[in-house]
Order: sequence, then structure tokens, then C-alpha cells
Amino acid sequence: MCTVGGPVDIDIPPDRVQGKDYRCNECGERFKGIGKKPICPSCQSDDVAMA
Amino acid sequence: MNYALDDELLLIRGKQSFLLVAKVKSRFGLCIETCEDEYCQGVETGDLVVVSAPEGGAVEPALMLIDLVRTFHIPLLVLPKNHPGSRRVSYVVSVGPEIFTSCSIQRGTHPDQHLICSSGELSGVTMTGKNGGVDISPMHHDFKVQHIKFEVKTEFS
Repeated sequence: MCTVGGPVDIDIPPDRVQGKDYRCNECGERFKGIGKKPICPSCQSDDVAMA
Repeated sequence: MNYALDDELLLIRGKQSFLLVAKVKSRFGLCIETCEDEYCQGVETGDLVVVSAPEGGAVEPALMLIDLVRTFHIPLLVLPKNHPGSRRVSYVVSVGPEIFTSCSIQRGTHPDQHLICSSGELSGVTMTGKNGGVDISPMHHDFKVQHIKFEVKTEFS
């Protein structure tokens, strides 16, 4: 059992979460997407491509 | 065990802590802000929004937190490791199709959305959006499960 607010028992390296670079084909927004179905954070379009 | 879940929320209580589970109503891009970068996660209808209160407390802030994310699409903030404010974060949230509770991570510091900080008594629980509801596994007999209806009404005068 962990102690709430206590030391971290598992150290997960920050580079574990690696977003892929995407560009929205509708509004041109560039963003780092994670997950299987990236969605543009600006216009909510799923018409995006890896940049 | 599968629990039917529509617009309402599912409260899972341990003796001293709780989890609150809701389904995403419509797809959206969830922004996750870390000190170094911004990530955008595609969230689908039926995915889960889970709030964990490792020390317990009032349920209402958790209801509001879920609504901020699933209705108003407020970005999630991730604290850097060893941030002094981490100990004051009494409610944490995760969003995804499947979420696993762990008592071995520091609250508010974990950007991986499949993990959420919990108390020891609720650690090791997997919640999966499935069959129009949510699968909770394992479901211990001393967990108390309740459905909650929650609605924000605003009257301007």
C-alpha cells in the first residue's frame, strides 16, 4: 500500500508519453497527438495527418 | 462486473476513498498540458472519465470535475514530478477507453491517461467502457456502488 502524498514508488520516465506531430487538414493547426484517433484541439476535426 | 451507465455517473466507494466514473457523451480533443509540451488526445463517445479521490471527501467536487472535462472539455494539467503542490491535489482525473487505478504513482504528475492515482484500497481496479456501460474488475464485495444523477442548472436574473 502506498502512503498518500508520500514518495513515488514507481518512477515512470517522462519520455514514456511521446506524442506524434500532426497537422490539421482543415484549420492548419499543428499539435502533438496521443492515442489512436487524434483530433485537432482547435477545430475538433479528425481530418489530420502526421506532419 | 458490468454496470449500465448512460448519462448518470457511477460512484465506487471504499472505506476511505472513492472513484467516480462517467461516460464521454461526444467525441472531442482533450488537451493535456505538461511543463514541457501540450498533447491532444482523441476522446470517443463511450470512453470513460474517471475522478479519483484517494483521501475521500465530498463527492460534489468530483461531479463538477467530471463535468468540466466531459461537457466543457477543460484541459488537464500535469504537475512535474516532486512538485510541492502534488500533496494538495485531492481529486485527480483520467480519460480513456480503459483506466487502471494505482496507488504507486504521485498524484497529478502522470500524463499517461490509462493510469489514475488511487488509495491502496481501490488500487488495481480496471475500468473499461463496454456494452453501453462500464466493466469494473475486480469488484470487491466491500466496495459500495451507487448511480448518481447530476445536472448543472444556471438561472440568471
